[in-house]
Amino acid sequence: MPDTLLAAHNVSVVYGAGAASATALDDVSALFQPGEVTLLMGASGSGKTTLLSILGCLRTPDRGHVTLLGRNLIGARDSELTALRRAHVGFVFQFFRLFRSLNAVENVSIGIELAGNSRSARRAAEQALDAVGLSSKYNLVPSELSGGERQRVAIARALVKNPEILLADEPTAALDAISGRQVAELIRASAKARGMAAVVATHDSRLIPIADRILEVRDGRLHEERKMS
Amino acid sequence: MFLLIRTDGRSTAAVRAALRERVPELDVLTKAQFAARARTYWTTQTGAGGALLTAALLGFLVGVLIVSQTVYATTLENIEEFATLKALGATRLYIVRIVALQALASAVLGCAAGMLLSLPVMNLARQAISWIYTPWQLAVLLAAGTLILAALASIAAVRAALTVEPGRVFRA
Repeated sequence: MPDTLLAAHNVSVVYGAGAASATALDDVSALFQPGEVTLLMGASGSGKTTLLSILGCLRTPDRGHVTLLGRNLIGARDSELTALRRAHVGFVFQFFRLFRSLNAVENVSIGIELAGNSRSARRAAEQALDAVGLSSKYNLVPSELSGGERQRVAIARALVKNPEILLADEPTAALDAISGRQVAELIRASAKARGMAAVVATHDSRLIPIADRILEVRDGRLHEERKMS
Repeated sequence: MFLLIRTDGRSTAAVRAALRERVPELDVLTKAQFAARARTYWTTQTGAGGALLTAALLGFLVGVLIVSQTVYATTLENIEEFATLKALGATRLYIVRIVALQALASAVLGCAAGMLLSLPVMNLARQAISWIYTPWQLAVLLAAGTLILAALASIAAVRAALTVEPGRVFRA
């Protein structure tokens, strides 16, 4: 496994054009290592979600570039970025983004089925749900689950394909204190156990204890890097 | 003026050939030829065929529009789920398959309902008009037409699903 799984090199993103343009990211560089939990912290609109989109190959920067598993993504086609996301990146979203008509197992199976592995998908999904403590909830649809349970299903969906990178956007913002702590611990434990680089965009200070380091994003720039002991 | 001739077991083709030789200024037709000529006349010369064809085309067009609207509305209603699928790494083919399946489901249900409704009407029509012709191939043709309709109807929805920005998954 390479020392650096994911890296942003002098990345800039500008929304709009001319007088109406706004700089979302300005010359941002950061490296993300295996087994490391990095918090991107900053106020709303600071650029942390844009950075997460860039790191997750969901959009390309206007300047600079991203390397994923040592591969420079400059000029990568949309289909290549899609394949990279499918194979190497797990996503966790603030509002879970589960498929409302599918039950927990089916929601998690999607992560594997998209990679064309539908035969083993159900078993793998059940194991992933077991790992996040939802053994008894296989057949429940999202509306029958609590917020914390939904987020754990989303984490299971992200982890089921064993990604090298986990990107989470405000994963605890919609959760109560207990669920938030459980989800935070789950992210940290998964990153450590699997050697994943976990990048979490948040302004929830409850997540600070799980971080190995914190990157402060302000006005589109990385202002401060704190290593946690 | 028409004359009907019974061939009484003799070869119809032979009788026809003999008659044509004797009276070349007359049309001598077998039963099948006469039926075909009548059909051609009514469908191409009288306007009845044009009206029927126009009605059928209009029906097809309305079908395409209704299924298209239904599938498009369903796709837009679930556009966030399509964005999530794309973010998770769904290929274009996977997305197209989902939308096409939705269109197919709409079309098959519509076709089945349409056929069920038309059966009693067809029976009534057959009782009222003895020569009305409703072969089973008509149902096959209708089903095939419905599949084409579903494919056409899903174009707009496929486009909407394929062009959704996966980056929107991070928006609240």
